[in-house]
Amino acid sequence: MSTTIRDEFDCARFTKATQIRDDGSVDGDAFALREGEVYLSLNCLDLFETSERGAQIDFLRDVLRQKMTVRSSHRLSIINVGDTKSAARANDYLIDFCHVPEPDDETHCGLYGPEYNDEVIQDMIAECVTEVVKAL
Amino acid sequence: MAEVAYALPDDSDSMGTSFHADTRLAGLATEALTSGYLRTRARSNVDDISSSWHMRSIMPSDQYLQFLASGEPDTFLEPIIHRIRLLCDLASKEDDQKALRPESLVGFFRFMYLHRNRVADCPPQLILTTEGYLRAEWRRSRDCRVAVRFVDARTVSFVTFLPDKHVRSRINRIGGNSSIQGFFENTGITTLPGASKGESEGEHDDSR
Repeated sequence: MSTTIRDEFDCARFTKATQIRDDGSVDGDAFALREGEVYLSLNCLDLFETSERGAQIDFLRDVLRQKMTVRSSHRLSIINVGDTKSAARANDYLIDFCHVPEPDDETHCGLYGPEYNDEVIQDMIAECVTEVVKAL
Repeated sequence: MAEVAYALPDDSDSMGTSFHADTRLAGLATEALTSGYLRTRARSNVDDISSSWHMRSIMPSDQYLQFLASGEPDTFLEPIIHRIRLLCDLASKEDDQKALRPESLVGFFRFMYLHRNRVADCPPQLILTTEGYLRAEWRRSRDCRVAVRFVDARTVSFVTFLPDKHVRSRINRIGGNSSIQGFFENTGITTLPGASKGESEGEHDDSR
Protein backbone atom coordinates (compact mmCIF):
# COMPACT_ATOMS: atom_id res chain seq x y z
CA MET A 1 0.00 0.00 0.00
CA SER A 2 1.38 3.37 -0.98
CA THR A 3 1.93 6.09 1.56
CA THR A 4 1.73 9.84 1.14
CA ILE A 5 4.99 11.70 0.75
CA ARG A 6 5.55 14.34 3.41
CA ASP A 7 5.10 17.97 2.42
CA GLU A 8 8.62 18.96 3.37
CA PHE A 9 10.17 16.42 1.00
CA ASP A 10 11.44 17.16 -2.49
CA CYS A 11 10.84 15.06 -5.59
CA ALA A 12 12.64 14.93 -8.93
CA ARG A 13 11.09 14.42 -12.34
CA PHE A 14 13.12 13.14 -15.28
CA THR A 15 13.03 15.82 -17.98
CA LYS A 16 14.03 15.69 -21.64
CA ALA A 17 15.94 18.50 -23.33
CA THR A 18 13.01 19.08 -25.68
CA GLN A 19 10.96 20.11 -22.63
CA ILE A 20 13.43 22.73 -21.46
CA ARG A 21 13.25 26.24 -22.83
CA ASP A 22 16.15 28.29 -24.10
CA ASP A 23 16.31 30.14 -20.81
CA GLY A 24 16.69 26.88 -18.88
CA SER A 25 13.19 26.85 -17.43
CA VAL A 26 11.06 23.72 -17.58
CA ASP A 27 7.91 23.58 -19.67
CA GLY A 28 4.72 22.04 -18.34
CA ASP A 29 5.04 19.21 -20.84
CA ALA A 30 7.62 17.69 -18.50
CA PHE A 31 4.71 17.09 -16.14
CA ALA A 32 2.26 15.81 -18.73
CA LEU A 33 0.61 12.46 -18.28
CA ARG A 34 0.86 10.10 -21.21
CA GLU A 35 -2.36 8.65 -22.47
CA GLY A 36 -3.37 5.83 -20.12
CA GLU A 37 -1.12 6.86 -17.26
CA VAL A 38 -2.76 7.40 -13.89
CA TYR A 39 0.10 9.16 -12.18
CA LEU A 40 3.29 11.01 -12.94
CA SER A 41 6.48 9.18 -12.05
CA LEU A 42 8.93 10.98 -9.82
CA ASN A 43 11.55 10.08 -7.28
CA CYS A 44 11.50 11.37 -3.74
CA LEU A 45 15.01 12.58 -2.99
CA ASP A 46 14.43 12.58 0.76
CA LEU A 47 13.72 8.85 0.76
CA PHE A 48 17.34 8.06 0.00
CA GLU A 49 19.38 7.13 3.02
CA THR A 50 21.23 10.38 3.11
CA SER A 51 20.21 13.94 3.79
CA GLU A 52 22.91 15.42 1.62
CA ARG A 53 21.33 16.75 -1.58
CA GLY A 54 24.28 16.06 -3.84
CA ALA A 55 24.44 12.46 -2.68
CA GLN A 56 20.68 12.05 -3.12
CA ILE A 57 20.94 13.20 -6.70
CA ASP A 58 23.89 10.91 -7.37
CA PHE A 59 21.91 7.96 -6.00
CA LEU A 60 19.01 8.87 -8.25
CA ARG A 61 21.29 9.14 -11.26
CA ASP A 62 22.49 5.60 -10.57
CA VAL A 63 18.94 4.32 -10.33
CA LEU A 64 17.87 6.01 -13.56
CA ARG A 65 20.89 4.75 -15.47
CA GLN A 66 19.80 1.21 -14.69
CA LYS A 67 16.24 1.83 -15.80
CA MET A 68 16.65 3.85 -18.96
CA THR A 69 19.01 5.51 -21.38
CA VAL A 70 20.16 8.71 -19.76
CA ARG A 71 21.87 11.32 -21.92
CA SER A 72 23.89 14.39 -21.10
CA SER A 73 21.02 16.56 -22.30
CA HIS A 74 18.58 15.06 -19.80
CA ARG A 75 17.72 16.89 -16.61
CA LEU A 76 16.06 16.36 -13.27
CA SER A 77 13.44 18.92 -12.33
CA ILE A 78 13.07 19.24 -8.58
CA ILE A 79 9.86 20.29 -6.87
CA ASN A 80 8.83 20.53 -3.25
CA VAL A 81 5.84 18.39 -2.36
CA GLY A 82 4.06 20.87 -0.08
CA ASP A 83 4.66 23.90 -2.27
CA THR A 84 3.40 22.08 -5.34
CA LYS A 85 0.27 20.88 -3.57
CA SER A 86 -0.39 24.42 -2.32
CA ALA A 87 0.04 25.89 -5.80
CA ALA A 88 -2.39 23.34 -7.20
CA ARG A 89 -4.93 24.03 -4.45
CA ALA A 90 -4.84 27.72 -5.33
CA ASN A 91 -6.51 26.80 -8.60
CA ASP A 92 -8.85 24.17 -7.11
CA TYR A 93 -6.75 21.18 -8.10
CA LEU A 94 -6.25 18.34 -5.65
CA ILE A 95 -3.00 16.49 -6.13
CA ASP A 96 -1.05 14.12 -3.94
CA PHE A 97 2.33 12.48 -3.89
CA CYS A 98 2.44 8.80 -2.93
CA HIS A 99 5.33 6.44 -2.42
CA VAL A 100 5.14 3.74 -5.09
CA PRO A 101 8.34 1.74 -4.65
CA GLU A 102 9.50 -0.49 -7.47
CA PRO A 103 11.92 -3.42 -7.18
CA ASP A 104 14.74 -1.51 -8.80
CA ASP A 105 13.63 1.91 -7.66
CA GLU A 106 12.90 2.25 -3.94
CA THR A 107 12.27 5.98 -3.97
CA HIS A 108 9.84 5.92 -6.87
CA CYS A 109 6.67 7.85 -6.19
CA GLY A 110 3.60 8.96 -8.06
CA LEU A 111 1.98 12.35 -8.42
CA TYR A 112 -1.75 11.69 -8.49
CA GLY A 113 -4.48 14.08 -9.54
CA PRO A 114 -3.58 15.64 -12.89
CA GLU A 115 -5.53 14.37 -15.86
CA TYR A 116 -4.36 13.63 -19.37
CA ASN A 117 -4.06 16.76 -21.51
CA ASP A 118 -4.75 19.23 -18.68
CA GLU A 119 -2.13 21.79 -19.55
CA VAL A 120 -3.09 24.20 -16.77
CA ILE A 121 -2.05 21.88 -13.96
CA GLN A 122 1.02 20.79 -15.93
CA ASP A 123 2.15 24.39 -16.19
CA MET A 124 1.33 25.07 -12.56
CA ILE A 125 3.54 22.19 -11.47
CA ALA A 126 6.32 23.33 -13.79
CA GLU A 127 6.20 26.76 -12.17
CA CYS A 128 7.00 25.02 -8.86
CA VAL A 129 10.33 23.69 -10.10
CA THR A 130 12.99 24.97 -7.74
CA GLU A 131 16.07 23.48 -9.31
CA VAL A 132 17.11 21.79 -12.52
CA VAL A 133 20.16 19.52 -12.44
CA LYS A 134 21.81 17.17 -14.91
CA ALA A 135 20.43 13.65 -14.98
CA LEU A 136 23.74 12.13 -15.96
CA MET B 1 9.81 15.54 -57.51
CA ALA B 2 7.67 15.21 -54.49
CA GLU B 3 4.23 16.61 -54.83
CA VAL B 4 2.49 18.69 -52.26
CA ALA B 5 -1.11 19.75 -52.39
CA TYR B 6 -2.22 23.27 -51.67
CA ALA B 7 -5.52 24.89 -51.19
CA LEU B 8 -6.78 28.27 -52.20
CA PRO B 9 -7.77 30.84 -51.44
CA ASP B 10 -7.13 32.56 -48.15
CA ASP B 11 -6.64 32.40 -44.40
CA SER B 12 -10.25 31.69 -43.71
CA ASP B 13 -11.33 28.28 -42.58
CA SER B 14 -12.96 27.41 -45.87
CA MET B 15 -11.00 25.24 -48.20
CA GLY B 16 -10.73 26.21 -51.81
CA THR B 17 -9.71 24.39 -54.91
CA SER B 18 -6.76 22.15 -54.36
CA PHE B 19 -4.08 21.22 -56.82
CA HIS B 20 -0.68 19.72 -56.85
CA ALA B 21 2.60 21.49 -57.16
CA ASP B 22 6.17 20.39 -57.15
CA THR B 23 8.56 20.93 -54.30
CA ARG B 24 9.74 24.27 -55.62
CA LEU B 25 6.24 25.60 -55.66
CA ALA B 26 5.71 24.08 -52.25
CA GLY B 27 8.73 25.98 -51.10
CA LEU B 28 7.52 29.23 -52.55
CA ALA B 29 4.18 28.87 -50.89
CA THR B 30 5.83 27.96 -47.64
CA GLU B 31 8.00 31.00 -47.84
CA ALA B 32 4.95 33.00 -48.67
CA LEU B 33 3.40 31.77 -45.50
CA THR B 34 6.34 32.37 -43.32
CA SER B 35 8.65 35.03 -44.63
CA GLY B 36 8.19 38.71 -44.62
CA TYR B 37 5.57 38.15 -42.00
CA LEU B 38 7.12 39.51 -38.90
CA ARG B 39 8.43 42.70 -40.33
CA THR B 40 6.64 45.41 -42.08
CA ARG B 41 9.29 45.56 -44.72
CA ALA B 42 7.90 45.81 -48.20
CA ARG B 43 7.86 42.47 -49.90
CA SER B 44 4.72 42.89 -51.84
CA ASN B 45 5.13 39.86 -54.03
CA VAL B 46 5.52 37.59 -51.03
CA ASP B 47 2.78 39.27 -49.10
CA ASP B 48 0.42 38.94 -52.02
CA ILE B 49 0.99 35.24 -52.11
CA SER B 50 0.97 34.82 -48.37
CA SER B 51 -2.41 36.40 -48.06
CA SER B 52 -3.93 34.04 -50.55
CA TRP B 53 -2.25 30.68 -50.07
CA HIS B 54 -1.89 28.10 -47.44
CA MET B 55 -0.95 24.49 -47.41
CA ARG B 56 -3.41 21.71 -47.00
CA SER B 57 -1.25 18.67 -47.39
CA ILE B 58 1.93 19.53 -45.68
CA MET B 59 5.52 18.86 -46.60
CA PRO B 60 7.72 17.05 -44.06
CA SER B 61 9.06 19.21 -41.26
CA ASP B 62 12.68 18.80 -42.26
CA GLN B 63 12.01 19.96 -45.82
CA TYR B 64 9.99 22.87 -44.54
CA LEU B 65 12.76 23.95 -42.19
CA GLN B 66 15.42 23.38 -44.81
CA PHE B 67 13.63 25.65 -47.18
CA LEU B 68 13.15 28.35 -44.59
CA ALA B 69 16.78 28.18 -43.56
CA SER B 70 17.93 28.56 -47.14
CA GLY B 71 15.84 31.66 -47.66
CA GLU B 72 18.09 34.13 -45.85
CA PRO B 73 15.88 34.44 -42.79
CA ASP B 74 16.08 37.70 -40.90
CA THR B 75 17.42 38.17 -37.37
CA PHE B 76 14.03 37.37 -35.89
CA LEU B 77 13.30 34.26 -37.89
CA GLU B 78 16.78 32.76 -37.97
CA PRO B 79 17.05 31.87 -34.26
CA ILE B 80 13.52 30.48 -34.34
CA ILE B 81 14.38 28.16 -37.21
CA HIS B 82 17.61 27.21 -35.47
CA ARG B 83 15.72 26.42 -32.28
CA ILE B 84 13.16 24.25 -34.06
CA ARG B 85 15.88 22.34 -35.87
CA LEU B 86 17.66 21.79 -32.57
CA LEU B 87 14.44 20.46 -31.03
CA CYS B 88 13.99 18.10 -33.99
CA ASP B 89 17.54 16.88 -33.56
CA LEU B 90 17.08 16.32 -29.82
CA ALA B 91 13.79 14.54 -30.44
CA SER B 92 15.38 12.15 -32.92
CA LYS B 93 17.67 10.85 -30.16
CA GLU B 94 14.87 10.09 -27.73
CA ASP B 95 13.18 6.71 -27.51
CA ASP B 96 10.00 8.06 -26.04
CA GLN B 97 9.37 11.04 -28.25
CA LYS B 98 7.31 11.70 -31.35
CA ALA B 99 8.87 13.67 -34.18
CA LEU B 100 7.71 17.20 -34.83
CA ARG B 101 4.32 17.06 -36.50
CA PRO B 102 4.38 19.01 -39.77
CA GLU B 103 0.88 20.34 -39.15
CA SER B 104 2.04 21.75 -35.81
CA LEU B 105 4.97 23.46 -37.52
CA VAL B 106 2.69 25.01 -40.11
CA GLY B 107 0.29 26.07 -37.37
CA PHE B 108 3.12 27.81 -35.56
CA PHE B 109 4.23 29.79 -38.58
CA ARG B 110 0.65 30.55 -39.51
CA PHE B 111 0.14 31.96 -36.03
CA MET B 112 3.29 34.03 -36.37
CA TYR B 113 2.19 35.28 -39.75
CA LEU B 114 -1.40 36.09 -38.90
CA HIS B 115 -0.45 37.81 -35.65
CA ARG B 116 2.79 39.31 -36.87
CA ASN B 117 2.03 42.72 -35.45
CA ARG B 118 1.75 41.25 -31.97
CA VAL B 119 4.70 38.86 -32.05
CA ALA B 120 7.19 40.94 -34.00
CA ASP B 121 9.02 42.27 -30.97
CA CYS B 122 8.72 39.29 -28.67
CA PRO B 123 10.04 35.98 -29.95
CA PRO B 124 8.62 33.03 -28.03
CA GLN B 125 10.41 30.34 -26.07
CA LEU B 126 9.84 27.08 -27.93
CA ILE B 127 9.75 23.48 -26.79
CA LEU B 128 8.66 20.24 -28.44
CA THR B 129 6.15 18.17 -26.52
CA THR B 130 6.54 14.43 -26.15
CA GLU B 131 3.66 13.99 -28.57
CA GLY B 132 5.39 16.07 -31.24
CA TYR B 133 3.69 19.43 -30.93
CA LEU B 134 5.48 22.76 -30.91
CA ARG B 135 4.65 24.77 -27.82
CA ALA B 136 5.50 28.45 -27.51
CA GLU B 137 5.57 30.56 -24.42
CA TRP B 138 5.60 34.31 -23.95
CA ARG B 139 6.46 35.26 -20.41
CA ARG B 140 7.01 38.26 -18.21
CA SER B 141 6.94 36.37 -14.93
CA ARG B 142 5.56 33.12 -13.50
CA ASP B 143 2.20 34.84 -13.05
CA CYS B 144 2.19 36.63 -16.37
CA ARG B 145 2.62 34.16 -19.16
CA VAL B 146 0.89 32.80 -22.23
CA ALA B 147 1.65 29.32 -23.58
CA VAL B 148 0.34 28.11 -26.91
CA ARG B 149 0.49 24.56 -28.26
CA PHE B 150 0.03 24.23 -31.99
CA VAL B 151 -2.35 21.34 -32.44
CA ASP B 152 -2.59 21.58 -36.21
CA ALA B 153 -2.49 24.16 -38.97
CA ARG B 154 -5.62 25.87 -37.68
CA THR B 155 -5.98 25.10 -33.99
CA VAL B 156 -4.13 25.89 -30.80
CA SER B 157 -4.58 24.95 -27.19
CA PHE B 158 -3.47 27.59 -24.76
CA VAL B 159 -2.76 28.25 -21.10
CA THR B 160 -2.69 31.76 -19.72
CA PHE B 161 -1.54 32.82 -16.27
CA LEU B 162 -2.45 36.49 -16.10
CA PRO B 163 -3.40 38.95 -13.37
CA ASP B 164 -7.09 39.72 -13.14
CA LYS B 165 -7.90 42.98 -14.88
CA HIS B 166 -9.78 44.28 -11.86
CA VAL B 167 -8.26 42.50 -8.87
CA ARG B 168 -4.56 42.65 -9.44
CA SER B 169 -3.66 40.28 -6.63
CA ARG B 170 -5.66 37.54 -8.29
CA ILE B 171 -4.00 35.40 -10.96
CA ASN B 172 -6.38 33.84 -13.46
CA ARG B 173 -5.10 30.54 -14.76
CA ILE B 174 -7.06 29.52 -17.81
CA GLY B 175 -6.72 26.82 -20.43
CA GLY B 176 -8.66 26.27 -23.62
CA ASN B 177 -8.68 25.83 -27.36
CA SER B 178 -8.98 28.36 -30.12
CA SER B 179 -8.63 28.79 -33.82
CA ILE B 180 -5.27 30.28 -34.70
CA GLN B 181 -6.97 33.09 -36.52
CA GLY B 182 -9.18 34.07 -33.59
CA PHE B 183 -6.68 33.53 -30.79
CA PHE B 184 -6.42 37.09 -29.54
CA GLU B 185 -10.13 37.76 -29.83
CA ASN B 186 -11.03 34.52 -28.11
CA THR B 187 -8.61 34.92 -25.23
CA GLY B 188 -9.13 38.65 -24.76
CA ILE B 189 -5.38 39.19 -24.81
CA THR B 190 -4.24 42.40 -26.41
CA THR B 191 -0.49 42.19 -25.97
CA LEU B 192 1.72 39.21 -25.31
CA PRO B 193 3.82 39.18 -22.14
CA GLY B 194 7.31 40.23 -23.03
CA ALA B 195 6.27 42.57 -25.80
CA SER B 196 8.21 45.79 -25.59
CA LYS B 197 5.65 47.90 -27.37
CA GLY B 198 2.66 49.16 -25.48
CA GLU B 199 1.22 47.83 -22.31
CA SER B 200 1.62 44.14 -21.71
CA GLU B 201 -1.08 41.95 -20.28
CA GLY B 202 -0.76 41.93 -16.55
CA GLU B 203 0.35 45.51 -16.36
CA HIS B 204 -3.09 46.96 -16.02
CA ASP B 205 -3.45 50.15 -14.16
CA ASP B 206 -6.70 49.08 -12.64
CA SER B 207 -5.95 47.32 -9.37
CA ARG B 208 -9.11 48.27 -7.61
